[in-house]
Amino acid sequence: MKVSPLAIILAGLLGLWESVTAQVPIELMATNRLEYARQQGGHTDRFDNWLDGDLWLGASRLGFRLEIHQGNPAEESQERLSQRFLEYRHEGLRIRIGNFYEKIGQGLLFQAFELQNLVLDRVERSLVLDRNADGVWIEWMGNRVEGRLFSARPLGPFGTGRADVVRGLDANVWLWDRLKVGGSALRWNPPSWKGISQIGLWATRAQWISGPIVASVEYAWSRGPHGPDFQDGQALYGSLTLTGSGLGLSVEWKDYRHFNLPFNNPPTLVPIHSVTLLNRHTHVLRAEDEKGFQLEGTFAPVSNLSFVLNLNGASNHISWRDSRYWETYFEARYEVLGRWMGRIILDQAEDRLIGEKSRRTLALEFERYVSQEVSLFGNLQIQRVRRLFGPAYWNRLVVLSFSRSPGLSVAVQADYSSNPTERRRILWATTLSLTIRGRHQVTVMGGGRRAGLACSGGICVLMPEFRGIELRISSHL
Amino acid sequence: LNQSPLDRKAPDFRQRDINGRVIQLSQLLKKGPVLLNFWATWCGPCLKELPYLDAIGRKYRARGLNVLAISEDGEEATPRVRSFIKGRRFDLVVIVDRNRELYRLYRVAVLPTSLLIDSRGRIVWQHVGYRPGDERILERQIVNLLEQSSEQAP
Repeated sequence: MKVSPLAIILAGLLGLWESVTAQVPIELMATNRLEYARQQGGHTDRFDNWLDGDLWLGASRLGFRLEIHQGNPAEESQERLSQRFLEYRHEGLRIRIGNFYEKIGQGLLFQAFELQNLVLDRVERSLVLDRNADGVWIEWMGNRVEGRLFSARPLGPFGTGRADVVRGLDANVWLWDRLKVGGSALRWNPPSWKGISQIGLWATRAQWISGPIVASVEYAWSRGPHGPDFQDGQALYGSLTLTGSGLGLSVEWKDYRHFNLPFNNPPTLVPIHSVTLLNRHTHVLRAEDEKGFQLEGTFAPVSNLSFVLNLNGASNHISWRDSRYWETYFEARYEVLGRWMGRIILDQAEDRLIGEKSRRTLALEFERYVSQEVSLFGNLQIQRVRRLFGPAYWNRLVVLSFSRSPGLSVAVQADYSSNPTERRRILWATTLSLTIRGRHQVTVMGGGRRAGLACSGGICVLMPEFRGIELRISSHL
Repeated sequence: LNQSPLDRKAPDFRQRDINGRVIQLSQLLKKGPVLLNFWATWCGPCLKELPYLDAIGRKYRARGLNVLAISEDGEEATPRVRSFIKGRRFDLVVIVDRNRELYRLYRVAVLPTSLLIDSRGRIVWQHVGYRPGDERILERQIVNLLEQSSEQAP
């Protein structure tokens, strides 16, 4: 595989730029992400690079993203300027022309989002990783009034084309410093979605903040041409948080009916865990018909001992069948700062929609400071899955790692599964991670990683199985 | 692997914290240096680092340091983030990054990432990732910056 000449030229220009602009009040801020993977078996390899840059001239910003994708065999190389925008910022005002991301309210109506740091194969990447919009976007954020106005063409569901047009307005007002009320209105012309000409989306919301009590509610509805492909939809989301010293309690609930949208799903209310096995089979939302809740309590009787209890559940219907999802999560954590940390996690879940009768997980973590810079970390996860149809099976994961501050860590991982649908029972992986000058993160992984959901920022995507060598370099330039 | 000195623009921003207060970076910088930390509740290394950031924030607050913990969990996780922060007794100013705007504004690539900003609005130090022991390096950088600030003060 050849290295792109464009990448070399660009790297050179960046170096030159840094030297030149040291003397003038123009600044470049950039991040480069490089990923190279060589997969065993088919002997395929791929190279991906994203260069994000901002050129700052006073209050104005010229931003761009350059993407390079190359792969073997039989894949067409791509080099493209995938994003560019001009933005003006002054106090609470922002005006942008070009590519942008946006989320309205809690994300019920519209989320133009991006998932970084997830490696997918070429087909799946374009499906979910980047859903930016291209157009005009204006924001005002004052002390009491905030609002957004935009007109744009979001990136199509397969990463190509911008056939849809969406126009939106979102406004919120703060009253007496405690009460926020607001609303949103969007008009969507989605010719790429079921051939529907126009959908109207609206939302209204309120939030009350009073010291230890925070309550919020958002109601959204959609209207479009009635027919076999579309029904008017509605969505309700609410939350209540109570906090005290060493105690936090949050309750959330959702009720979605026919709330299928052309671009995104509303929030799932299912937590993203820091435990690998728990994230591998997380609940997938069905916005056509789903009700659910989440309750989480955090309690710290003393500063170095904490407990977390999370209950979350959902129910929906598929044809004649009720489908239920339920999860109970408990975590206890104790640490002596600078010496050692221990964490135990117990989780039980049931997800009829994906055919799981029960899933029980135990996770243990232990970290020991050997010296001020050196530490050892161990993580054991055991999971028993019973299915509605088919045999029960075990998943087990063991991770041992060594780290030396500030720049080096090495981890060895063994991943066992007796699931008959898995091609391999044991997958081994070794990961070396280096932080160089605080600005460059280099990670090399050799071995195997199982397929499953990978979640980030409330959004989960399915990752394919991988066996081979993978290199990632993230740099702040 | 050593840290190198930086001198880069810290773009100004305005967002609300989890208590609804408007936080503007340029206003905070009038009081002293600011430490920005990008984290998430699902990020294991971030959760290990947070207790140290909390301790550092408490220790140097009287000398003008402000620690801003910027959560990348997404707006829909705000109730859980609020419950987590109060439940763990953390005394940090927390912003749930609206649509990852600050993440993109500062061109963050991995979590956690820490950026130390001096009173002139310049990023003078940054660190990506967290390994046990990194907190000592961070504290050393903060002390150096606070000492420089007090020497330059009239």
